[in-house]
Amino acid sequence: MPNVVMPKFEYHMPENIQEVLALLDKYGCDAKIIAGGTDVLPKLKGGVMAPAHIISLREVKELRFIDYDCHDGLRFGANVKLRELENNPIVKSKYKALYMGCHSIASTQIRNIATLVGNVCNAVPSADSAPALLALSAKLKIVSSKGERIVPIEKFFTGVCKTVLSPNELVTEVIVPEMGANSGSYYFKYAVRRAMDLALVGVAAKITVENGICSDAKIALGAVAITPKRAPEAEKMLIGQHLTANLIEQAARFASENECSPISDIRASKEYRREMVYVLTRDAIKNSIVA
Amino acid sequence: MKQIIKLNVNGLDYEIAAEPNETLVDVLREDLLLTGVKKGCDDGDCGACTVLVDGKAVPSCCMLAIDMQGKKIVTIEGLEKNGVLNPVQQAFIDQFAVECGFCTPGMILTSVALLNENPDPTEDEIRDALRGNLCRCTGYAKIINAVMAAKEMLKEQRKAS
Amino acid sequence: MPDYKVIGKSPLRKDAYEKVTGKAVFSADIHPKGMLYGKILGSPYAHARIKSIDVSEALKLPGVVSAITGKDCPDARTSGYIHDRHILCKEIVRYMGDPVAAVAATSPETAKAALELIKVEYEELPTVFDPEEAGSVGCKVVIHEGLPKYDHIEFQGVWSSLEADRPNQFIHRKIIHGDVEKGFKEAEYIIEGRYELPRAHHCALEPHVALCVPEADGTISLYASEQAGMYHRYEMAEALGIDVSKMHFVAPHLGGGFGGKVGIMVGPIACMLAIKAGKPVRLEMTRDEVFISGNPRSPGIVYLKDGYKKDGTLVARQIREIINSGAYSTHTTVLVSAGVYGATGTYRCPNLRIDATGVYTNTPPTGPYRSLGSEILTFAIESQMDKAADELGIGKIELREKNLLVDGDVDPIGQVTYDNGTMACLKKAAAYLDLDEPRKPKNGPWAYGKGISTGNKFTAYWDTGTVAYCHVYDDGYIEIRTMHTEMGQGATTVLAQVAAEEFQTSYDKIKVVWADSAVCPYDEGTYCSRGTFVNGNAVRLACQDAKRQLFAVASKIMEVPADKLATCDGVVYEIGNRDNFRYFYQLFEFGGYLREGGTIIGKDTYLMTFEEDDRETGQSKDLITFYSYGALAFEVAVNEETGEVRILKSGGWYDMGQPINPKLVELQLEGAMCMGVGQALFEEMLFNKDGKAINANFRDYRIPTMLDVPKNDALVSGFAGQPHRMGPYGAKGIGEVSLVPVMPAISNAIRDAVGIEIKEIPLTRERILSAINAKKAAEKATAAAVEKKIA
Repeated sequence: MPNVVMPKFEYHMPENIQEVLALLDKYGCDAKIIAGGTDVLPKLKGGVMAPAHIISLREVKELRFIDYDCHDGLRFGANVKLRELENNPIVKSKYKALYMGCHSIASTQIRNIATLVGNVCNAVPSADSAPALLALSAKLKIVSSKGERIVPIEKFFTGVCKTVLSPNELVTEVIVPEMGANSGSYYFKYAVRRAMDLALVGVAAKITVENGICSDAKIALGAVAITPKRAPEAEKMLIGQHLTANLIEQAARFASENECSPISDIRASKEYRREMVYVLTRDAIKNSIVA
Repeated sequence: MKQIIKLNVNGLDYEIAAEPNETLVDVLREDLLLTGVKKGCDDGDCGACTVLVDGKAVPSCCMLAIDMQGKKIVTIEGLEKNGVLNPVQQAFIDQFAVECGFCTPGMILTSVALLNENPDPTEDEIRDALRGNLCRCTGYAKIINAVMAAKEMLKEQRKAS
Repeated sequence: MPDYKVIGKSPLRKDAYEKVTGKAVFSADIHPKGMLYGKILGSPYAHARIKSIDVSEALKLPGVVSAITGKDCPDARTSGYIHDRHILCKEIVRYMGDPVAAVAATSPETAKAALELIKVEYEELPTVFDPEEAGSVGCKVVIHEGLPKYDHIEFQGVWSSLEADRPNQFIHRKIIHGDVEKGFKEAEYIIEGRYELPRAHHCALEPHVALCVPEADGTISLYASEQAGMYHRYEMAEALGIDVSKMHFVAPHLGGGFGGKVGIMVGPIACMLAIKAGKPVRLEMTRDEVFISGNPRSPGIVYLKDGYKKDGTLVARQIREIINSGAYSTHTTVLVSAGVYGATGTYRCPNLRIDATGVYTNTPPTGPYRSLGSEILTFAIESQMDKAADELGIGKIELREKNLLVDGDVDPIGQVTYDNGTMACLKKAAAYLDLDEPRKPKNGPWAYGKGISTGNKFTAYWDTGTVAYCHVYDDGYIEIRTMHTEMGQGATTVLAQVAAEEFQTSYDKIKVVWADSAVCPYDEGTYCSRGTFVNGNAVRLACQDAKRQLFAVASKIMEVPADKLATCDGVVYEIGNRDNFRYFYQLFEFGGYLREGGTIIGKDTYLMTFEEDDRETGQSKDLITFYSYGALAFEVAVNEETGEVRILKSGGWYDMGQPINPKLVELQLEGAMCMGVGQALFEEMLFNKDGKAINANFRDYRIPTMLDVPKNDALVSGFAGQPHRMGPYGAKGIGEVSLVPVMPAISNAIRDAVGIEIKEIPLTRERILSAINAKKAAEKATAAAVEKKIA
């Protein structure tokens, strides 16, 4: 960390959602929520942000739940830690892309305190949770003192570190629909090192194959556009088709050439990223096909 | 403005005057003088500052001290009990898993938490669980040996009791 | 190897308990009363003149106790062999981050806030970042105008090699052996290449830190994470203008060093802040400051030209090396002048010429990193040898064996080789690699390859002396005192074993007091693989001196001639009459004193002999006391779609004489291999066009995690060699040689797998993939041309 003065702030520890919303109403843009704090604290230390108020969710028990049923699917609260999600037997067995996305993040230590919702709200293009949520058609429940709304994840990100959240709003839960029969999912994170790294490219897929024909395909790309995004044209190439190796390669190639806009930075050049989108998309699709 | 915060560390309660913006690692090291907690990067990237909070390994440089009130914090200093080392500590000695010693407290605590959660990890599982603990000296091989040895020691202990 | 009582065994580390309990004290763990926290203000420009600097506002901030700038610093420049640096910049800043001011305050937050109140006005100056440009004739940007007038320490022609028309080149080191032009005329095959290694960082987990405590008696105590404290104590005292004896230096445990903590910058700055404040000051670098100002490894460019006979005999080798020292020379002078031995220690070559130069650029200063430049030349040499072998149609092992120096050969600096175990190491590594085994077929996108490299690391050369004390106590305990620094390598353990062997007593009865100038005698520094060798020998001599004193006392009491006495397990006994013995306490008065002579404290100096090398040619018959040698083999898998490299197997054999503690040696081998993997595949420091470091953190500068290195069953290491005739019990150093062959061995394995040649480290996935794609494109073009021809 460089020698930057850590901003001073007032610390709040509300005990329920109503108290959180009241604080957000009062302090709005001057407040930052922390659940784990693993994104916010480094930003404070690095001088990137200086909120006058920090609102900790640690006591808000309503935000710590993981529920599943075969109709509504998976629902979990905003203060569920990444480790709790990845250790959950339902997530591990049914929502593989989500499991892999969570597990690929940082370290055990970080994942013990960091939350998936925090990762999503931080909204960096390389957020490891995002491609899986996109591929699995997740939705976010967003509440404020004025009411609540459900926002599909593909509408949530609006730019680099930008979301649709207003300063007085709180994401309270994530809803991931039931996987459905004959469906599988996968997430590939490609980074320079095999651990402790941001994704150079991240690709998640969800594929449903019935009677040998692909009835549904979702492909989601991370770190190769200003927000994590789907690759709808590549998806359309697969739906209604028999998934041959050739077709999968064509769809992956199409996604890499037409449905992403990677940049060059200190981690990799855009040409390399684009090539990796092809490789990872191809492999994510293949690995999502349930035998 | 400093506030009085109450922390439970290694089984003892402390009242400390700290600013809300002080991190747990700084309060532990500078206020409580628990210098076994090391600061390698102050950025969540190296694992040297790992402590246990309610049994889970966490990066103390990424946490506000004020946010840790009411939790049970254990640092490396809290492992040895009545002159008896935790099996993981003993295994690190026996297996030569220590060189400069700077990553060691964090490495040991993360291993303790791992073995509590998963008493029989494979080498792959150990490497994955400890991937956030950087070591520049040992090349990790003997650290793996130490965790494996500790797991056997703990199995024996469980059998005996 | 002989069978000893303690040597060659692996007793548990002396410092293991304190490290696993968190009780081991590192410099930043010491917290004296009234301690202040120091922070440094660095320059925001890579090259500028300081027009004005004003700390008055900073001093007004409550909690700020002292603030210093270049104006407060002595006029004399300091540091390294060429004194080119002030403690804080006075007039010119030469890299982004160059320290211009420092403050001490009651909290780190207050100190940081004070930095923001310091007003500095700069006038930007033109910059030069590229080392070849900086070192060129008539380079317009001159970084050290005063270079020709700087104070310096004469060392291997450091001074006499200045060239007036190359204003940024501060050293030109030559090795001239035979006649390289004639050699190339005789050669039947010539191969050339340009190789490049980046700035890499040691990334010791403990950041650089110094604590200076002004004592009540007017002296100062400095506790610092510093590898060469005794030497730098003299440098610092001179720079600060105080008597050496007024500075007490202590190196507590170091959280890693690897060559990056030799002459740490925070030491003298902490002293100045503390002296001004009249209070202790701890100055700890942040991680990004460590990356920038913690002396990362000098980047190097090597132009290598080799000439062989058709049968593979190496007849000529010419090397031109440009080392980028950044803004100051620090110890890059040694890296340039001594790194050349990486090219002279392993292979026979009747006609060899090296021109190694060091240049200034407007980037952060650099220095040695665990092998002092040997790894830079070895990367070039070993990579090119593999290619030469292929083009000559000779096996890779065969080509190396043909040219390896063996005992009795004259090496390219004119020294007769002895106790050289490279051949034995190479044979073992080759057997492990099993190049005769049929190549593994491709598995999907994964291609398999094997690579090998030899390596050497010299040590303990030139004028170096070390002293140790050995205090014998009445209760049978032996206390060794030495400045040898413990930075994880096991210094204290190894020296305790040496003393235990000398006294034939239990290792548990040996106490080691280390790295405290108040009670320990001189050692230059813990680096260059010299620690065990020089300190081990000094400890042996000191023990022998103590035994002489012990036997003289016992002789009178036992009425046996002193040369008929021996010691073991805390007794002195008559040789041949074991029943005639005395316990140590029986030789002393109550309280552990002698009736005559005070106490038993052995002391002696271990001095290297050497013949000074010729200034022009670098030749000497007796310069390098020893080389450690080794050979390392890798099997890798390379993904032809992504460029990812996986290390499947790694086997290294090293000749480091007699291992004193084999387990500790294994740790060095395993650790260095892992470090080398990081350097080979991921590590390089990056700068933007203004000279700003853009990856000065552990996220963007990646060192290997547990998942990036081979699993335990894929890691093999061993020893192959003879005891060294001058080493303590035959031991040599091991800390560095184990890093030297890693990069070329991986590069050679990648080349074997996918047929590409990469002359630039790190071997990133993108570089590898680009090279694979370029090769495929070239093959396609050739095939198309052939088809056209046929058609």
